[in-house]
This record gives sequence, C-alpha cells and structure tokens, in this order.
Amino acid sequence: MLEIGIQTRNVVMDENPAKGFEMIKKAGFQCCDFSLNNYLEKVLLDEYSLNDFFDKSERELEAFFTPHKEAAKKAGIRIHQMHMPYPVYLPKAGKEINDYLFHVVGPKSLAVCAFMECSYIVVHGFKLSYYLGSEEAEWARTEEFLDFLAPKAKALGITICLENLYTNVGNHIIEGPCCDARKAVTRIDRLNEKHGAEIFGFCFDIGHANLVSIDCEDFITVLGKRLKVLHVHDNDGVRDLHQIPFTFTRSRQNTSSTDWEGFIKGLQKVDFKGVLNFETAPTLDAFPEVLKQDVITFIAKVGRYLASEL
Amino acid sequence: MNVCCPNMISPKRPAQGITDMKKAGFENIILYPGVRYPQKNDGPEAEDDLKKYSPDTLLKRYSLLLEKCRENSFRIPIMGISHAYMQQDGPDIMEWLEKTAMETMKLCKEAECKKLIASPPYPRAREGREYAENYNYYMKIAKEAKKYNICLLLESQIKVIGGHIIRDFLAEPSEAAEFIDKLNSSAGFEAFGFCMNTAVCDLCGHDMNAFVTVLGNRLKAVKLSDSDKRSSMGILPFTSAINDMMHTDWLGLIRGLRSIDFDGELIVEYSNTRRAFPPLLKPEIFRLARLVGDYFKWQVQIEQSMKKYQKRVLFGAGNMCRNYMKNYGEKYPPLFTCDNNPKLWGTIFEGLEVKNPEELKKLSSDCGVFICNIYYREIETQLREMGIENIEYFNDEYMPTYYVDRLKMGDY
Repeated sequence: MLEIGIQTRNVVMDENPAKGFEMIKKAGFQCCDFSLNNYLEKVLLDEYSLNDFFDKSERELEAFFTPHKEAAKKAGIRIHQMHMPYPVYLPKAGKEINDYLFHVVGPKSLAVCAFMECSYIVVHGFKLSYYLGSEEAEWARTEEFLDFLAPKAKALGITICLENLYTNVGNHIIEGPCCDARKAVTRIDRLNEKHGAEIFGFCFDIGHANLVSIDCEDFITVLGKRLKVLHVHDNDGVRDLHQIPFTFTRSRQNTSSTDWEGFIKGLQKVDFKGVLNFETAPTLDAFPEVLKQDVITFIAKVGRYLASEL
Repeated sequence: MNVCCPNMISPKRPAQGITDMKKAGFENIILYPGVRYPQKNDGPEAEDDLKKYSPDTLLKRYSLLLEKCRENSFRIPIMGISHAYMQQDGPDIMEWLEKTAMETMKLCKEAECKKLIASPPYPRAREGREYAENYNYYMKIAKEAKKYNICLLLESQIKVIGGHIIRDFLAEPSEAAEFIDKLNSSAGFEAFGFCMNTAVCDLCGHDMNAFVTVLGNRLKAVKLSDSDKRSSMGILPFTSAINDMMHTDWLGLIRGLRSIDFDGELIVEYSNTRRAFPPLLKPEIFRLARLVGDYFKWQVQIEQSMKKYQKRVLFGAGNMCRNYMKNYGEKYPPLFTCDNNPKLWGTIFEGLEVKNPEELKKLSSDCGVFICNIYYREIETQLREMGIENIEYFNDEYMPTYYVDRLKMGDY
C-alpha cells in the first residue's frame, strides 16, 4: 500500500515541532510535506515585501531547522517532499525583490531540502504569459531559473518538481504554468537531458487540475514516470480551497464533483509508487483547534482509502 | 477571414431570416443541417419522423434555403454535421453517422462550402476505445471529403463529472494537434483541421493563447462565444461579466490568433443570447453580434489596416503611440505624430516629431491617419471636420507591451 503524507503547515510549529510531528504520526501518516513556504509567505510576497528569514546563512538555516529534523525523525515521519516559497517571480515587483527570490531564496531552499534529507522540492513556474504575450516566453523565464538551480540540485541529489498551476484572468481562473502535460513531458525530458541527470520531475496537484477541468487520468498517464509527487486536496471547481477529498458536489445527486476516479485510474496506469500527499492545511483553519487531531486523523483515513483503491 | 453567423433562416420559411441577416450586415452563415437519429427507446411511432428527417432528405429539405441564400448573396463557407440528440448506443448509430456525414458533404457541394465541422462522435468515456473508433470514423468519411475538396474540422469534447465539466477527447491542444496530424498523414492530404470553441475553452480554463499557438495552422475556424463559467455556452462575447470585469480570456485569444496569422472562419456563436431576447428585439442583437464579429476580425488583422497605406501618421503622443512604435514602428514607420496639446508641438516623442494636427491637411491621399488615443470618436469627428478621409483606429490593449510598460520590470 502507498505511503500517505500531509503538509506540515498548521500542524508543525517552530516553538514545538515535536508536538506537530507526533500529531502527524498519531493520525497515521508515514510522511510529510515540509512547508518551507511558511517562512516567506505568499501573502507577504503578494504585497511585494520580503522578510529576513532567508538572509540567514545555510549553516544558520540548518541550525534553525535542526529541531524540526530531529523531531520528525523521533516521531518516525519521513520528510518526503518540500515546497519552495512562492511565487518565485513577482511581475510587478522591483528587480531587487526578484533577484533575491532568484539568487537567494531558490538556492537556500535547496540547501534546506538537502539538510532535511528530503528528495523532492516543488517549485512554481513563473506566471508571466499575460505580461510577456505567450506561454513560450513565460516558460523561457522559468527555464532560466531551473537552469540556475539545476547544478546545485544535481549535487545535492534533489529532484525539482514542476507543478500544474492556475492563474486569474478578470474574474475567472484559467490554466497557468505547466497545465499542458504533453509540453511538460517534453520540457522535463529536455531539461534532464541537458543537465545529465533526473533533476526534474512533476508534482500533480489534483485541486488545481479541478479548477481548470483537466482530465486527471489523461494528464497523469501522459506524465508517466515523470510524476514524482502529489498535492491531494479538493475544491468547488471555482476557488482554490484546499479541502478534504470528496467534500464538494455540484449536482442534486451529490456525487463528488472532483474526478477522483480518473485520478485513481491514472495513478494505477502509471504504477505510481510515491506518496499520497495531502495539501489540506486550510482545512485546519476551518475546523476548531480542539478538533485538529481528529481532522488530520480523518484525512489519513481518506488517504488509506485512496491507497487501498490503488 | 469570414465573419459567420449561425443560421437564422428557416429551411421552410426563409424570408424573415434573410431580412434579419441582411439588416444585421451578415454575409456568411454556418449551417448545421438537422437529422433525426434513431433512439434506444424509439417505438413504431418514430418511424415517420426518422424517414422525414433521415440524412438522405437533407438535399431536398435545404434546397429552398440554399436557393434563397444564392439569390441574396449569402455565402455558407462552413457547415457542421449535426450530432444533436444522437445516442452513443442508439441502434445502427455508426451507419447513421456515416450516412449523415456523407449527405452533409453533398449539401456542402451544393452550397460551395469547403469546411465542415465533424466533431468526434465517440467521447473518452468509452474506456480508451475513443481514439480507434473516432479514427476509423474519420478515415471512412475522409475519402468523400477529398472528392468534394472539403476540410473536416474537429472539435474539443467535454464530459460532466458530478456536475463539473472536465476536458474530454481533443480538449488538450497538443492531443488535438497530434491526432489531426495522424489523420492527415493517413489520409494523404490535408483533410482535417480544427474548429476552436472559445466557450468550451473558457469552461475548461484553457489559456487560449497557448491553445491557439499549439494548434497553429491546423486551426481553420473559431466559434466566438462566452460562457456562464459553469455549464452554458452560446453567450454573446463580452456579455459575460461580473464586478466590472469580463470573465473570458479574450486577450489570450486575440494574441494567439495574431501570432498564427489566423485567416479562417470567425463564427459568432450566441445562440443562448439570441433565444433569450424577445422577438421584437432580436434584430438589434443580430446587429450587435455582427459588430462583435467584425471587432474580432479587426483586432486579429490589425496589421492589415497599416499595410493598406504607403504612408502613415499617428494622432496622439502617449502610451498608445509608444506601443505603436514598439510593435510596428520599424515595420510600418509613421511620418510623424500629432497632438491637440500645443505644448507638445515641435517636441520628439518615441523618435517622432509631434506636430499640430493642422499639418494633417497637407497629407497625400496614400497616407493613413491612425488615432492612438482612446477618445477615438471625438478625435475622428475633429478629423472629419478637417476634411481628413483616411482615418484608422489603432488599439494596443492586446499587445504585450501594453502590460510590460506598466510594470516596474527593470530587466524587461
């Protein structure tokens, strides 16, 4: 049976990481998705601001995350994947902020990933097609960043996973970077060939796929062996809500409006052996604090159900 | 590029439809000749209907409509094979499908129509058999298409899961491009192309620019339609908006169509809007639909207006003028620009001298004046009063530089 994992955001706190990892273990997870993005949050970046967290040297970062690493080990939780802070490029921000994200946050995230003995880091593509006029021009900018990270990732034995994202046009969500599986496959293969190692892979986010009506079975099948990690969560097809699978319906029959069947079939077809990783931290914002353990225990139960279907 | 309107002409009583279309200014229509398919639960009472609306009655049923179109100089550059009410598991469905396709192609020949929308009849829900079954269907009808010199256009399919729309067969542009190339290679000629439906793209959250670019010259027709973002299509473009913002990625579509030099059919698909309007107001909505179609054509072919003239002069010395120079300054260099602000006269903006608009009176007849200012109508009136004739609108809102210039992107 596949291992199951959950993101650490809203569970593992810096003041007592052991408590959070124990909760994850108690819920029944074997793995976690370490939320490195917590340390330079999107809400801050959206205001074109930075904090000084990544000003720390790599040694200082290692010292900072040592309690987390030790607590995870003690609880028997493997840090399977990690999320680099995002967005990694802010079109409306100045050069200074973007240079910092590119040259400081990117490489230091890889260093933290390696220190935590984590093999996969999820990196967002740049959202620039609106400004640059085409998806190809947008990808060219993302590829520059990936080329920059590749030697370090190769040396540290880390696989950088691109993720299917969405973007907003007017009042409507449309597909963002990496939503064309066929293009993604070509690009990942080309990058890996260029850098002479399997440095790049894919993170399939079923919630994002649902927002832009992607056929999960087709997408996953096309990705094949390039699929390395998952972001499992649910939404109403309109907003990126990151809720527990099977939560949403859109018809009087009240059957799930997310294509879980296609998701399972796709994973079966490609013989996925990775981790069923839940990106459901916002659920914990919705439920009362006293129910946190019950909620993550239920998420683990959903995980075991999905694993059993595979 | 033809701007086409869905057929509003009744095959039995064509007069009113012809009048409405003429008044609206349409010259081209797309026709979906109707066929009655046998259904699983058809009883003996359906027999008459099946005969009356069988595929082999198409020529006869639509002959009056074709005649009236010819008389009134309406063209039918594109038709569609009707799959309405077809049941996948209806009796003899394959036979009916092929027959419908063949008879519709005969009608195309009569109408001198060279493009036929032939949606894939088999959805992905058929457990992986859809590729082979659709391929076989297309190969069968390709021979007839060659005979009549018709290009068969494929369309994206969607499916519904728990009330939510999901992409189905050919909804991924890369998949569609690959399938079309395979069909054309097997057919031995360019028998197949693609018809894009913007409402389907919208419902599926596609990046329309990328969608168009991937399809490239396989794209032969575009159905311009808005959606309600949940399930409905056939809404007049630009009318689906909320909180002061439009929903649909028209920016991506226009950029994409420009990038591939699109020159196919533009079909204004607004069937739901049309049905929703009261009968007495319908002629007004037809006219608006035609204007919307013309607007898209103008935006996609914006370079055509520049090509028309030997010389060009701009009116306006602001952002729009800057964007003209960035996008077209080298290819279609203007002689100068002008502005109503006397303080700017004699200054240089984006390498152009800013002159008094009075200078426009001295221009030769092969020179076009391009208004680079959003006060188009006010400036046009001013120019007309000055006796200027070659007046054109320039518009930069779909150009990449329009957004880049407004950013603090030091390295762009």
